[in-house]
Amino acid sequence: MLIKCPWCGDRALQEFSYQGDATVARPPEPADPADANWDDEWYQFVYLRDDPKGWHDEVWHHIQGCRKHFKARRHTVTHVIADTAPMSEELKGGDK
Amino acid sequence: MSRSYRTAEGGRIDRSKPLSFTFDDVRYTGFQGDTLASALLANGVKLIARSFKYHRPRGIMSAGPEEPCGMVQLREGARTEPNIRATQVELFDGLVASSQNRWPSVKWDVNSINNLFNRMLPAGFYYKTFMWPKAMWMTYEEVIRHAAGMGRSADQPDPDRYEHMHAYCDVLVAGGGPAGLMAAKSAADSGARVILVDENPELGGYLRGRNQKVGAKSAMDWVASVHVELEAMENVTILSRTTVASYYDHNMLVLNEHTGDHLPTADGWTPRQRNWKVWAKQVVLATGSIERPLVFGNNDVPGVMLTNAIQAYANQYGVTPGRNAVVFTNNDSAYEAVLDMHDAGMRIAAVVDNRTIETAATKPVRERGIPVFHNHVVFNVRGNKHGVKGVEIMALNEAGDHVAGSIIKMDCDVVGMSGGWTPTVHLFSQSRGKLRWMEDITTFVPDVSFQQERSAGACKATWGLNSCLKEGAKAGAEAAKAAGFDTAKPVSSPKSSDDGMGEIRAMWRVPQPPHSHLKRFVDFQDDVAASDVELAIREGYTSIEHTKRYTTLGMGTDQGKTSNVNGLAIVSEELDKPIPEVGHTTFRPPYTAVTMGAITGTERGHHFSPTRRSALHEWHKQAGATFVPAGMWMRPQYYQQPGESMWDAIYRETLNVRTKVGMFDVSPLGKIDIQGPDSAEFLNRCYINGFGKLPVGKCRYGVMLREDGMVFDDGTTSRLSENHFMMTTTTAKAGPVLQHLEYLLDVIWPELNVHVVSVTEEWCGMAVAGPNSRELLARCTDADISNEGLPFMGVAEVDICGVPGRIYRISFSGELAYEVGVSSDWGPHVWSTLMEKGQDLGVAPYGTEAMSIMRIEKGHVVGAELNGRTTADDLGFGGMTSTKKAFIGQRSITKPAFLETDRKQLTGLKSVDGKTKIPRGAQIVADPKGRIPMEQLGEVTANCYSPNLKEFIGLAIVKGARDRKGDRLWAFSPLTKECCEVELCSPHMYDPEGERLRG
Amino acid sequence: MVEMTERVSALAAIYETGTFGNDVDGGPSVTLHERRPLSIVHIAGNSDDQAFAGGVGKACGCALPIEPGTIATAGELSLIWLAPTRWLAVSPDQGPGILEAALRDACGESGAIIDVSHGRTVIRLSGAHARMVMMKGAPLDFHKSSFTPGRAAQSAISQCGTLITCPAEDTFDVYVFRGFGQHMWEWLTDAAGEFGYKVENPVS
Repeated sequence: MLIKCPWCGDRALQEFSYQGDATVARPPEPADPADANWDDEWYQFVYLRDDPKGWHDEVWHHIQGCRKHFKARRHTVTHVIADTAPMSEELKGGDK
Repeated sequence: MSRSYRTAEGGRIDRSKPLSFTFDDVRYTGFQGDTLASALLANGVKLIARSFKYHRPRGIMSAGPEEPCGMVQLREGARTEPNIRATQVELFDGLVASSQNRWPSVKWDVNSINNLFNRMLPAGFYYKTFMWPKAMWMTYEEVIRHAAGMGRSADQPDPDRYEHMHAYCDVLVAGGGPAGLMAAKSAADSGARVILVDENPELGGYLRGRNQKVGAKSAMDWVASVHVELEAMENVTILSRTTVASYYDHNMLVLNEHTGDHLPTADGWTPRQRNWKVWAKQVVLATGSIERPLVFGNNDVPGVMLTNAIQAYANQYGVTPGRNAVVFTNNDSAYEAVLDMHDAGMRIAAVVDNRTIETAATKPVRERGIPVFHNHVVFNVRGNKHGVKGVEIMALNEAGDHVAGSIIKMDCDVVGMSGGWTPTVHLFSQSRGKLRWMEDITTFVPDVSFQQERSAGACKATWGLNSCLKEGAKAGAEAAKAAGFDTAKPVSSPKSSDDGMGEIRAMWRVPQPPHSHLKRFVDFQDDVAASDVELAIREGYTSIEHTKRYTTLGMGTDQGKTSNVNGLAIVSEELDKPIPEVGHTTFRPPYTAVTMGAITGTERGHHFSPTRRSALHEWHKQAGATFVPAGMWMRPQYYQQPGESMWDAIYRETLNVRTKVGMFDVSPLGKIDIQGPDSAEFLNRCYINGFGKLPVGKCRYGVMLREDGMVFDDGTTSRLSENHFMMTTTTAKAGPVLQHLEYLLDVIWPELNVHVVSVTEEWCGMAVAGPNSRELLARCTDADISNEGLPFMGVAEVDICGVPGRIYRISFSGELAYEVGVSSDWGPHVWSTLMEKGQDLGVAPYGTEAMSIMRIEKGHVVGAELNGRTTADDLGFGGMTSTKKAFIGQRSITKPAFLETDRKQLTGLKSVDGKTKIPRGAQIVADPKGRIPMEQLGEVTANCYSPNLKEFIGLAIVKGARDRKGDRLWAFSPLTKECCEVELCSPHMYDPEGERLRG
Repeated sequence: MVEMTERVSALAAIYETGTFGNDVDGGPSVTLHERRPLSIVHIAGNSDDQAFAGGVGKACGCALPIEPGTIATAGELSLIWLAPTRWLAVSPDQGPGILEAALRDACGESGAIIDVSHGRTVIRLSGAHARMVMMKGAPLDFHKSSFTPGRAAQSAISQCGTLITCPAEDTFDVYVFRGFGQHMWEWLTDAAGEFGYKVENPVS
């Protein structure tokens, strides 16, 4: 595989580390941390992930390159990567 | 047998360079340019191997990578290798090969009795017979493996060198035949970076084995001129003796280059093989095609060969595989071969053509007086291990589904068979391309591409030289254009002839006379006959993937190159379903087998994994340290002195720290430099405890959790200035913690202005521990390191031994201790100076074993306790956990399961009788004599003899341990059967109040 | 006093000058030496922050290279792009903390400056086959037309994270963490053996 780091360009898979599902956001801290009881939102965030067949937005880390995290839209069946982008930008392409 | 089958002249061999080699201990001679197969055939050696299941005699069937039968054990000793296709072994002087899969000899093979009882060995035989009783499988397996065996691997380490290479290009061309050469030329002319890959020592592909012309030139002269032209171009790399083994995602291809296999032995520095990873923008597949066998009775007798192979041996190697041939065909391509065979001096007893209508190709054959039998088939081959003796021919009935009339017996010593041609679509298929069945030529061809590739020539069922040249040129230009070279255009090709294979008459199973039970082989390597496929279908294995696995059709090392189409066509006939509906099995990489050595590359021996050395490594070595790997680091484990046992050394080092002063190399601890205005806030969010109020010049022990609430890592972090911290991590987690911090800053809290960078290697760290440590350091620095000047958990920038550094007042051993940090290149100087200046204070180095004992005595947790299942509270850090701030993992630890009182908690252990050691990795149980399975209350995470406490102690994670101090349980190791009664105690077993380290 | 203490290279125990490997016609076609002693400073910050970018420019004598994988130079000093917010300043040894202090002074409160001079081993390869040696190691495009003088890239050789720069035609500098220095030296010389190689004295 060849993954396009938004900064370094096309690089071999072995330079990268998969860092999880980009569609899952960490829930914001509750106003009072002491009241932060276990809740469904947190449970979803920590334990539950979809396993989609098809396009999937992911976080990758260019760990043996520039060490930046970025987003990639990858097809889980064909491994085609439609787009990569810095964390602050939106992904384009694929069927999404 | 010893008479030569070498022609008087001709062939692309160098007759002035004879080469001596042995096969099954008999010495033979061949020539430079021979393959092992051609040289054996030249010497009249027909019997090469015994077949896999029935141990039937087998010879050479092909002249290329498709060879299913002629496999040998190549070389001897450490370099020996099984299952090597003799057709692809370049002959060298002194080559040693032997037949395989035979015992005691290929000529007298005991297991060939299997052949007599072959009705007892049908498809699925092993599955049916040996699957029960289950317990016996191991016994069966041994016997089966001995009987089946496909050669043997070397029993010594491989002495050869293997490497990897990495390359990028605009256009990769797979195959150096006419289409590939034209593709490479067209692409290269546009300026594109081209890699041309060909598996043979000489470019030309199938042209090497033919007598054809390209334009006015002989084809091979033309090939040579193109080769010279391409080689002169800076943007072209030609890789000969290289197979495109695999086609992966994103146009990454793996090539297997045989850099040294053609040499008697590669010199010490040149690799034997290289595996290339190539990332190509565009790929042109010009992989040619493979002739198909015909499925008739005893078609596996040595001497039954693919017709084009006989032709190639005659033309390329000057070898006639027999003197008297019968050629059996269902298409036109065999006729050209017959002419070449005839010209090479072979007698052609007959051409047997199953087609009813005579084609134009027949004419020149008849003109040479060769009899041609149309609408006839060879239904049986007579012969034995000495080779073919003759054939039996019959006419076909009108429908073509039965033989009719009388049997014509004909003597011959070689049989050519040509069942049409199968495009080599392996790489196309590996690339996820979709295949399409072409009924008129009875084969699958590339249809819809998935990746950036295109096929050209015979691998796309384009027959005829002229068409292949043109198509290659066009494909090369298109590929270059697609790679961004807009001006690319096909180079013109010299006008050449364009013979095809004409009309083909598919006959997937050649009929046999009634009541005949002749074995008609489909897969020669795995001994799968037509009857096995039929049986599998009858037994319900009707999916092609199931048929494959049940019969082992196409599962050999040849991956069914000659058998797949025939096999699935028979399935189609049996199921009465068209072939496209039956489908085909998946083509998997590699195309031809790749040695483990090439896959491994340089990652073996001491390069298996990098070795990471501290700046003090040489000092430790000189001091007699025994090293222990810790991740990639090599750490001193203990320093044995003359007359000491390992344990003597370890206990001495431990006691020396507790009574005098010891020094330990802590350089491998992870160190992360953290800077930026939000650094303190960031640390607050990372650790369970607060760092916002940590004063400058102080360090604090911190614990980090994962989001699921389990402990991730721990370490001390120092505040060097308002917005500058240095974090330490455990050695093992240095990398993961840095990645974790980077993730948080990039993904979760991009608004924080914090920069993190690893400075592990910048610092050489030395723990100076023991009652004399202050005195020792005072001799080496002017800085105030008194208890007031540098109190516990203080950090100071100092000059030490003449270089700038830092002293941290921290202690892992539990003694009065400091950690000295200096820039790595000065490490050896500072360490040696401390050692020198502390001689009268009793300074001595200590290793990881002594450190481990002291940390057990103090109840400090390390990797064994930070096992991903323990919470901060389990480990006794509950009190540290802040309730005033949010941090990673905080919302998880309020989950009910985290609050249960009988969670497994950290505890100290003492051996009750004081004599029995606590077994390593033992289970904690209430009663070791209880019923199995007994309840596991916990596990021992660390154990040692404490030379300070003079007893056997340990640490464990035990259910509800905190409330069970004084309870007696048992540590039982089911592995070693060791058992020890233990008493639970506080993990802080030595100096529990910590008076020593604060003193 | 500080100047009197010599820096000990990670390669000290194994460094040997001379000619090694295959005896090839025309002599060895790869030359290696350690680059030392060097001053190396890791610089992190936002290139849009004028105080930071201007400060680095002033201290180094060249502007921060913004384009990924490029190097800016000023005399013997190189400023190497590592990441959108990270650079490495490399120069012959200027003395302990000197380059770090100059950068910190010039940048004031902006950015993060940290001396890593002792944390890296830098090996220079040059010669006709240096490129082939690099191709054995890292999955980068080392083609003459691609990895040209003035380019830099981070990748991995033999599982070790590396920074590779091309300071001149057929010349490559390989930066690894100091602890991997000896391993990398052994690996690179091993890979160069096929072409014959020469080891010269260390020079910065």
